[in-house]
Amino acid sequence: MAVEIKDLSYVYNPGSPFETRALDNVTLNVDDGDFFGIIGHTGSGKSTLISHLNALTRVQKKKKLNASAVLRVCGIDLTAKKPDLKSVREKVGMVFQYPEYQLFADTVRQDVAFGPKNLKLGEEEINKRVREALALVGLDYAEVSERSPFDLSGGQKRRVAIAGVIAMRPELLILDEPTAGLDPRGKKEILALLHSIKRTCPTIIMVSHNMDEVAACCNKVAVMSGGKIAGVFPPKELFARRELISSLGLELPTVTELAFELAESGLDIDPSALGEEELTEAIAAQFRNK
Amino acid sequence: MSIISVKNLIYKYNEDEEDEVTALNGLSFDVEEGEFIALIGSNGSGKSTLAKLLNGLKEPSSGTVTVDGIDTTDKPHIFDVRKTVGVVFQNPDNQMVASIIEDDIAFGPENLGVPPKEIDERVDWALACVGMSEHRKGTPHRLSGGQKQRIAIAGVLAIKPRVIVLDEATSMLDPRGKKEVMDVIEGIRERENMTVIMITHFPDEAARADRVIALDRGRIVLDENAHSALSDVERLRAYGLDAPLPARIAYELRRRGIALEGEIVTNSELKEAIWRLK
Repeated sequence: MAVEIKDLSYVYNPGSPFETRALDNVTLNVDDGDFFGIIGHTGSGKSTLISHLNALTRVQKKKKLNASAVLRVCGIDLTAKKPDLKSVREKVGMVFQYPEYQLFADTVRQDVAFGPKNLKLGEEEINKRVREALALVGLDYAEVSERSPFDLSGGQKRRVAIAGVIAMRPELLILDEPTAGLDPRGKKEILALLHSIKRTCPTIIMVSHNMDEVAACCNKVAVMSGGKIAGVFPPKELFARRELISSLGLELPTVTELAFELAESGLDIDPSALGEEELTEAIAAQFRNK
Repeated sequence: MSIISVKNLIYKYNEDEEDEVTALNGLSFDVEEGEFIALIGSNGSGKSTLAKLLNGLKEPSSGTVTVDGIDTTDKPHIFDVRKTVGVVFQNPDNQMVASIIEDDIAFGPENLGVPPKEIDERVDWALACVGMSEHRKGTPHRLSGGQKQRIAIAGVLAIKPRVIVLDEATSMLDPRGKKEVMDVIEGIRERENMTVIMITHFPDEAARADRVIALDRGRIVLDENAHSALSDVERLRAYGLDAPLPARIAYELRRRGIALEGEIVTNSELKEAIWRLK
């Protein structure tokens, strides 16, 4: 199991007037090979949860808080007094929101090599990984490796930033809103590259506000609300629950919303249709059956 | 007279240098007072460059941008240009100048030398417009992205511009924040008859406008009624742009021989067109 969480809580500003319980007895499992989505509106605890997974946020231990909590990521016990942080950071790759803001080196090659260098790998191995990682994110090594990352387009910068994480060869890749702020073409490129990354890094966790993307990519989706897990569902099952989605202040994927509206108007269409192609077919079938 | 008039506008980055890039290549269009225009185009099409030319943050390499009769290169009158056209940018965190919200909103009118009593009234009015009156004495740092962007809009409104330009102002927000900001913009338009130019990647946001101008590699490739522009899937695709989902589905259905009638952009238009055929 890639991630095992039981009864995990986290309190911001404990004992002050701003005290907020960001995580409230969260229990959640992510299996090896999952493309796992986490959704929930702003402030529901998504970011606090994922920052626990590579130990950027440490399990809080105060009085009774987290007395029986379990947090095991890639086999490492993060509730331990001194967890093996080095191997956590090796095994868990984290791509933050707007990761291009973290680019810093003079050339793309140096930027992507930064992680592997810190793993104390040999020069040859580092070069190999840089080439591999750039290829995986769809960038041409010969064309970009000696350029400044700051001269690239927004979508390309983001791909360089993701390559920097991939070059560490993580066992688990976590992405926070990987397509935010990109144009439709850039969004499609990032999603396509996540599918190719999945071949080398089999377990991916993605936090997203974009339900179309969650529906298209994930095999399981956890819904967060008020620091709790409101449920874990396959996307098709989740988005068939229109009431639950709207009660949590979330939206349906645009395709599902349209399918619901068509079904309500009396067309014989399964409202949980998730794909554009699938919905087009379902409508076309209505005309054939006549 | 048009509120904004753009004639043969050319803008080059690094002009006359080795790495010269022509970002805008001969644009001409007029904006009438009260219009709601969506400016669309893929990355690198020149949209954001154009936004900065509309209130004189950049000057044309050649051609002219005229705002309410004033050329934007007319230095002595640049304040009049900036008073007429306000711009809201993408990142809410980059647009806050003060640590108390009312000071942030007052920053614009203070710089224009508005008397204190009127500043006070403008702050009240601008915060009411964006539905943030109760936050007047608060600090921006504890607000959500959508709330911060509403404060940024209020800061621009306090200048009392006649045109507001939104440069991908919702792209960093979650769906709820996007909706908050779009609702605020529509409210302002209705109540204040303000001219809105909205730069966006999202076809469903563009569908709220009356008119769509599409840029492709620095040229205007579409300038027409928003509804007809957004229903034309093939033409949009040719410029690397997406049509809204109902338009895409209608396009696919027609390709399969289902002769849906009319321009289809919204869910209800698709629904009605299907039922007319059944």
